[in-house]
Amino acid sequence: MGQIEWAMWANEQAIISAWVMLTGGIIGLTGFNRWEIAAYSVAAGIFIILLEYPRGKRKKGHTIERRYQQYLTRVIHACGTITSNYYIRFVLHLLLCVPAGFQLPTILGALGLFIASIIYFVAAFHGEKWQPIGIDTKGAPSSSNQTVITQPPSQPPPRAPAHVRPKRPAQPVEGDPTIL
Amino acid sequence: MVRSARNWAANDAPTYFALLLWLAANILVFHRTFTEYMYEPRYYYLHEMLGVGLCVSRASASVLNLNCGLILLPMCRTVLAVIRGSTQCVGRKARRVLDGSRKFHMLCGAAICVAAATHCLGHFYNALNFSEHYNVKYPGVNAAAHPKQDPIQVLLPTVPGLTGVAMVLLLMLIVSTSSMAIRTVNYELFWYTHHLFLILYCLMLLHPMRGILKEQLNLDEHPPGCHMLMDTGGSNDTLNVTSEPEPEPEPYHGLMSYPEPEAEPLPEGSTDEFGRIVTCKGPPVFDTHAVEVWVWLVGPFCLYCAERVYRLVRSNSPAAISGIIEHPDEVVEVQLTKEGFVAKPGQYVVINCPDVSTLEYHPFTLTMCPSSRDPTFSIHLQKMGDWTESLYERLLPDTDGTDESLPVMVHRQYPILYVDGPFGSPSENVFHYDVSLCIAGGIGITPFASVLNHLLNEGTKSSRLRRLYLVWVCKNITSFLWIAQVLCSLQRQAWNENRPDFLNIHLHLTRSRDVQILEREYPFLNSRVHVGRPQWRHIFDEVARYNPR
Repeated sequence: MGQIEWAMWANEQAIISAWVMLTGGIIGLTGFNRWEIAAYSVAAGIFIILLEYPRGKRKKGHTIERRYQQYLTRVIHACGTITSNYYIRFVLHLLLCVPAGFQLPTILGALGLFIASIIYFVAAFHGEKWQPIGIDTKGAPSSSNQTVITQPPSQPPPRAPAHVRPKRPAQPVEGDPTIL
Repeated sequence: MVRSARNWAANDAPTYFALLLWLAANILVFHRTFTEYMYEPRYYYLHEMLGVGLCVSRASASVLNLNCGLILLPMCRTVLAVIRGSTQCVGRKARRVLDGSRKFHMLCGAAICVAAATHCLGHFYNALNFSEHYNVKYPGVNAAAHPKQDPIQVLLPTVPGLTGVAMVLLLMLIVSTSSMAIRTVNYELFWYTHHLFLILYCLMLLHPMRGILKEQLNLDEHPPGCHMLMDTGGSNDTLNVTSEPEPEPEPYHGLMSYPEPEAEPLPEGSTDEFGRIVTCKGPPVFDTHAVEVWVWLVGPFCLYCAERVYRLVRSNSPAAISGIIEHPDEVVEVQLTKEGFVAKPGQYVVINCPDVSTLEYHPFTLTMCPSSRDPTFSIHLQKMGDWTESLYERLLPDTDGTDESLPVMVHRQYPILYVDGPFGSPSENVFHYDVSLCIAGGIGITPFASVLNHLLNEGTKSSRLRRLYLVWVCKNITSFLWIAQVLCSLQRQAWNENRPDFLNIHLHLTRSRDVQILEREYPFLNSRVHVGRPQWRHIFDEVARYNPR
């Protein structure tokens, strides 16, 4: 077991729990006693889904984004440390899951969220933190899976095939259009 | 139009037919259980109290059972390999269906999630109805201890409630690590949490014990519904839903049928509201209904366990490393021998190296299969993740530095490797067609490497295959050197066997550097290298044009 990224699992677990909690809340509103808990679960479920929807950037390698997550990424990124620190998420989920544990339909979501919060604790313990995808931490926007061409082509077309071309002293930059 | 329909019938129809069978089985099971709980007299009182929630929860439970049994079948890999290998009884079309076994596993998984959600939903309402519609007349059928008991207390302190919650949590863990994003990057996590299914199955067998749903046992003594006659005046509007407060009933004693003090046996010959003669000899007796979870699970589960044990025994003795060849681009070819190891080209093995990790098994396609002449088989291993990196360094320890200045014969200590397999894969089918088109990217060439090696050993006339197209896309030109020797030898052999157009190679290079490498040693391959990604339309057009039906 090498480099497990716990936060990714915690995120997945939290979002599934939130869906279960939301569904449980909706069921809880249809005739069960203590409807306040059900209403709370619906609200908490929606909140967690929104919070957890944007996946954090992996330490290395490509991260598969959720569909349309870039809009929420900006919102979550704007909140700063509150959303990027996993200790805070651990405490938040731990607190959010408690009230939902007192009604039958929402109890499954609450327990799932409890597990998610524990995994978040493990993630935070391993020093992981939420990083936005697609937003440069310095503020310059750049897409994650696209290499930026910094140098203009040094030679105008037509160009000779690569193996015939005389070798240049500088190593060509990856993605340089002059290579092909 | 006709042609595309014919193609569809040949390629996809069997898969869809299998899918349709599965869907039909699910619907049938759901419908059968639903109607059983709806109309069976045994469940009359229960259904009266719980309504449609009973039918939904039970019907989804049987769908759950069916899929929990089926989901294990695609994972019996040795069995699948045997079925796939027996070409006499399994046709080409059936083998194509087997190729989708992993997808079927995922489909069953999705069905389990849906059925589990429905089952939970049904039981939430059942718990609610148990507390709302408490049957004061026959307390034996109740699960609640008293009317208006909190649904959480009705369900949770029982064995089915506790095991049910635990199972849903386990299922959530399994699902959360099975998503594409996690499976591809944290494979170990996915692998380990998937094995929680063993606990899940044990809980599943425990789940119906001391069940809260009760069926009526003495149908002949007490025809369901005859309690109406016991009510004064025979009115049937005061059945069991009581609005006025009831005295606290005595505590309920589990499975024991409840003695009914007030229901006196009716005199013989009483009539119901339709004038039929009803002979009611006593109050209804209830007991936990028999649930046949194990019937569904025992077969597939035993098969799966037997297979795992068989695999454990088979992979018990380590394979001997007979040679290690270093290839460019961080690829190493490991040649192994193992007694009694038989494999067919295209099959794969899983390899465990206790020095690297005790529990991890990693799949590798065989690039050379053992034959009657040579018992050696080989795998190609590329440095990709942490496991392969660690194994790579053990197989090829760094020899620079002090070792270089001392030309002493050092006995190389190879790590112990355990080999489990072989298992079947779709690439076994290459030999069963007249024309085969093999497409590979990078190290994905390995299944076809074993095909090429097999053709080299057995000759090109050994199978039905009369033309083989190979499209191989690589980033670096040095990657082509992995099997360049085999490709050239096979071409020469085909030429000698008077089949010059047997092997058609398209090599595609997506990152062109030092193209000259092949020019010197392998001019045959050099003339077949294209720079850039393949133009699929051109390739498919070419294959179709030169191989008319």
